[in-house]
Amino acid sequence: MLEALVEFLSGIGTAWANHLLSWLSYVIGWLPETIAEPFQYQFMLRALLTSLVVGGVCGILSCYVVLKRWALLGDAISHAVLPGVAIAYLLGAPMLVGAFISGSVTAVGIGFIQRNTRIKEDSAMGLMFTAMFALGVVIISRIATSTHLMHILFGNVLGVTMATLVTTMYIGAFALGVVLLCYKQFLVYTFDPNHASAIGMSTGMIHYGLMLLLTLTIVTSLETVGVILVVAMLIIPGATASLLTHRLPRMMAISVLVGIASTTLGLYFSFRLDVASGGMMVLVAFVIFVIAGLASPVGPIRQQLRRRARADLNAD
Amino acid sequence: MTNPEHERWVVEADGVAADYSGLIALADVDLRLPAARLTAIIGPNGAGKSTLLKLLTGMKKPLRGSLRVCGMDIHTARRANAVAYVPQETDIDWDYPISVRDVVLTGRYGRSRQSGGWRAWLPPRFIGASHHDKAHAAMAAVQVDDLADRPIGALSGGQKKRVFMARSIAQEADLMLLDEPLAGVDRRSERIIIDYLKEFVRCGKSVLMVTHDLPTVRDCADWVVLVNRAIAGVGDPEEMLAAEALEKGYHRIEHRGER
Repeated sequence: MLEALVEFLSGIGTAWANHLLSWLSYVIGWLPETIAEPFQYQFMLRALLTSLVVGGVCGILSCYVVLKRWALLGDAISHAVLPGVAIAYLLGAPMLVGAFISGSVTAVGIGFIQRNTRIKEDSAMGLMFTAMFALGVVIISRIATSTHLMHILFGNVLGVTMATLVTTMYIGAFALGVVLLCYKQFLVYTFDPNHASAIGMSTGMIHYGLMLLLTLTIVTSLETVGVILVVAMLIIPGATASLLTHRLPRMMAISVLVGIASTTLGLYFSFRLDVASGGMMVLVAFVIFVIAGLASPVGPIRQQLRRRARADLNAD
Repeated sequence: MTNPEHERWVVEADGVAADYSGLIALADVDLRLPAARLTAIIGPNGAGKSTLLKLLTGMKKPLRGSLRVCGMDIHTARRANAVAYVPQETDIDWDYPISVRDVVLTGRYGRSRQSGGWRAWLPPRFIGASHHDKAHAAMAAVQVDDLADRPIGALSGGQKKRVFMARSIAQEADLMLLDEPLAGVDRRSERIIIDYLKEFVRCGKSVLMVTHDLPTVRDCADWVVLVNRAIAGVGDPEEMLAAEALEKGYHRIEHRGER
């Protein structure tokens, strides 16, 4: 029964993915030769589609991470998925499942330590995620080659298989759907949890729901940017967007654009320069952040322009 | 509606205690507060005044004891939108990317859930014209409708308080909780806030407000609760603001501080 369902879903997903891939290659056909050239390979097209999905989902979740000040939590969960990945590899189970389970265990463990001991939140996080990460390193050193470890730690978007792409698309669609349906709950909870509680929302459910989405996002980004760098994709797009607007929907749109731009440009440059894709994506994101910071309404460039305009006015 | 023999209670607490990771913040709270009054909660810093409000919004779970608000248990009261909450200035991230209109509209979220239907699942912009109209009327009631499109970070202290008042008004609750509504507030805002609260109480609703502003308590409050890690006294303003009562209420914490 379950197997039939999985087969059915993966069939639909693969059909959709093929559809999108051919559409993508059609669009790319219109681009100039120099830009389009890397994407004539099927594996680059798959990498591009994965990057688009991951960039978009990270962009949305990134807003909540920045607003709720969950940067350290994101870092913690991303490191903590390592033992799950290793054990899944050992059992021949899908990597995403193992990663999700160990990420969730850590998230709950952090909450448990915090509630039941005097240890503060940041220490609880540091304690849990380094322990889980260490467990992962130990298991992997026993069972796999160092190349394999490198791929998990830093991602290997060029090696994305059709099956992974399909799973990534499903998780991406799920995360988008949840954010759309629970937009109001997430908004109130991140803005004023007291009000959320007063109007009858279940703050515990929202809290763990948001954390679950965060874990899912991290798991999907594993193949693309890897365990170590994924937190950058959860901070930089949202932080960049927060410099540029005072409205949450707009912030989400900008954040998605920044996410997509940095994953796709990063992919392109990594192919051109023959460097690590995950690292390149994060560097592109950082460059976008710096440009946004300089050019934002309160940034130094506009301030300089305003000062000059005022000086001109005074001179007249 | 009100039975003269049985006064309506807006808060009924029996043996309630609350703690923060093992440190007791409030203990042995036995409290009956009458409805349709403007009740002030006073007491020294760290006395558990804000904790009392957070118990009533359900944000904080009591360690023990039973707590009822507007005749319902806390969970039912929350689902019924019976309690509205105006936060302290320090509890809000003023850089949050949200406009005044959208803050006030969050007051309608619970009502949109209650009215049911598929619209409740849509983003705020599409939850229906009636909710938007109520939010607008609430903004007009405390004169922040002309600020509707401003980001909340761009407001003055008094305007911020009035925006959160508008959110509570939009919620149409029976009990309004306010944490320091008059701190850092200009004269005009103070006037608008107090006038609205008096009108609210005249309509049979109840107000519970934490404040340090004793002169205002003397002028406006109908009922006063003196809190100092427990209930140190309940009564009318004249009685509670008399020197002996105040000294009794404020004394215990100094005593504890020395130990």
